[in-house]
Amino acid sequence: MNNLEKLSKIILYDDPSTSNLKLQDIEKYLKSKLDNIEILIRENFFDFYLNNLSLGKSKNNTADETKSKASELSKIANGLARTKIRDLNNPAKYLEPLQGEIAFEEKLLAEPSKSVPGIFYDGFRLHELFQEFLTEMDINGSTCHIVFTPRLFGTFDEFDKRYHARVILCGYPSLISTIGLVEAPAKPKEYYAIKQRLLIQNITTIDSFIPDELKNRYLEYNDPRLTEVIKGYVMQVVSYHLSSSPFCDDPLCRLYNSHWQEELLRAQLSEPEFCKTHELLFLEFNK
Amino acid sequence: MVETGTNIKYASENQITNAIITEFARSFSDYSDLDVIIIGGGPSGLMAARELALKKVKVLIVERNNYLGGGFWVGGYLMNTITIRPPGQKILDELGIPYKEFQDNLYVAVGPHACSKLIAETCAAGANIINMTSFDDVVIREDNRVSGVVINWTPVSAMPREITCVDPVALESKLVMDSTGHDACVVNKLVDRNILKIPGFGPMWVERSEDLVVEHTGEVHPGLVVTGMAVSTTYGLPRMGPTFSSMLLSGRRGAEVAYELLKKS
Repeated sequence: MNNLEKLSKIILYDDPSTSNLKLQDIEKYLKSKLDNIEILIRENFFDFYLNNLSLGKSKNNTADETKSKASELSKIANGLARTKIRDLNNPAKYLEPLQGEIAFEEKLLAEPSKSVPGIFYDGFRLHELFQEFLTEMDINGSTCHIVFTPRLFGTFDEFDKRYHARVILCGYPSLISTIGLVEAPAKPKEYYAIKQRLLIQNITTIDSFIPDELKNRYLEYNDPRLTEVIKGYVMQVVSYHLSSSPFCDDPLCRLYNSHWQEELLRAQLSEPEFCKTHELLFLEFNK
Repeated sequence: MVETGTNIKYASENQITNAIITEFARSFSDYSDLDVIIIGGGPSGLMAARELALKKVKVLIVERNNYLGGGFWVGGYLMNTITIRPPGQKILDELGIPYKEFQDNLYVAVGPHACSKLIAETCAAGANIINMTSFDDVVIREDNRVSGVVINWTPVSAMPREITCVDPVALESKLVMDSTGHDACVVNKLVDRNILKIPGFGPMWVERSEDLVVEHTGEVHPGLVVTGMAVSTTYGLPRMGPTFSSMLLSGRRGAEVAYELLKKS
């Protein structure tokens, strides 16, 4: 399938909890790679939705309008709480969210600059939720929405019958998890050996025991390399929109679906940027 | 200062018994009109009780053991060094508990000193305490709201039923707080009654569990606030190692939530 003529606009939604995510740099990079394409940068996805509700546009909101915004926020929080994975080995296990789980999501929505600690969401259910809140004016085949989210999501693998954390989920919109970049690809084996030894001693402050040499081999939260790495994941989304396939089998291409942090750093930070096939794909788009 | 060798003044056995009964009965009678009943006198329950009492909220801790403090007396492997991660040391400062920095982001304190000081500060703030008393059941009112607890002497539950046919008593309150640790006794009573469903231990990662406990502290069901490790059981968060920051911070958060709920009621 080829969609080269259709893509004309990319909208990037910010994740304010990740201070090293520089969307202007990503915008510049996209413009350097893709000719004649409009790039828009927007605030956090749900903030954009809430701030553009038809009733909530006026600066002089009435009590009813404010209530409408509050009820939408509550609806989103409820939806997010429903997308939590309840059982790593059973995607069908569902439980009505507890009052406290919804309140937890409401707090996070009200403070998007706060990181989302330790919750694991079902990627497909989360994606459906984001799709539900795409503003109607932006839904068209020529626009690609890329949402940077601080939520960690996973998809269920029918092969080994368990959930696996993911960095990227392509679709409409596409999701890139800023926590997933750190948590989804596995760290070097030495890291887990140290972690295991410390946990036996009930020490959970692992970071201070990891040598710097080892730390350089994986991404940490708010890592200075984050934006550079994300550029490659954004190109995976672009590739998905152009060719229906986000990934490449070549471990040196930025479109490689890395399962290890060291693979990720090699694919994203070393030359060449793309394999011949994908180099050509983007060149053809620019013709 | 009392000099050694000073004769201790005389009081008869009758007078002593009378003093115990009279004072206990007076206090117990006063518990019929409570704002918050906290089940469990571990670090989060004590912290919540202290904070509420300082705000003049009428609060009672129900503790099933003779002693208060729960697991706060000892760290891991029964060793009485307790560990605290920032910002938990700020609470130690407030309570006047001495501690030292062990390494970056990790402080240590002597368990018995820390625990006894927390208990003393909670009592000094004006919290009421009833120990050797076990939580038996919840009092449920309209719309399944939790409105009190049913309690009994702890020894009753430890003896054969045919010997101890002792009916419990009920105490009513505006709010109940479950601070019973991993047992989450109050929450689980609602689960037993099919009023609440909880997820069980779920897929989350242990490094973030302290933050999660504090973040999830709050009202889990109308009239019921949950703090400390009971939060972990309620929301299926991972069990943690022996660091107590989240217990103290969760207690404080629980008190804030309870105070706001009381203001609205």
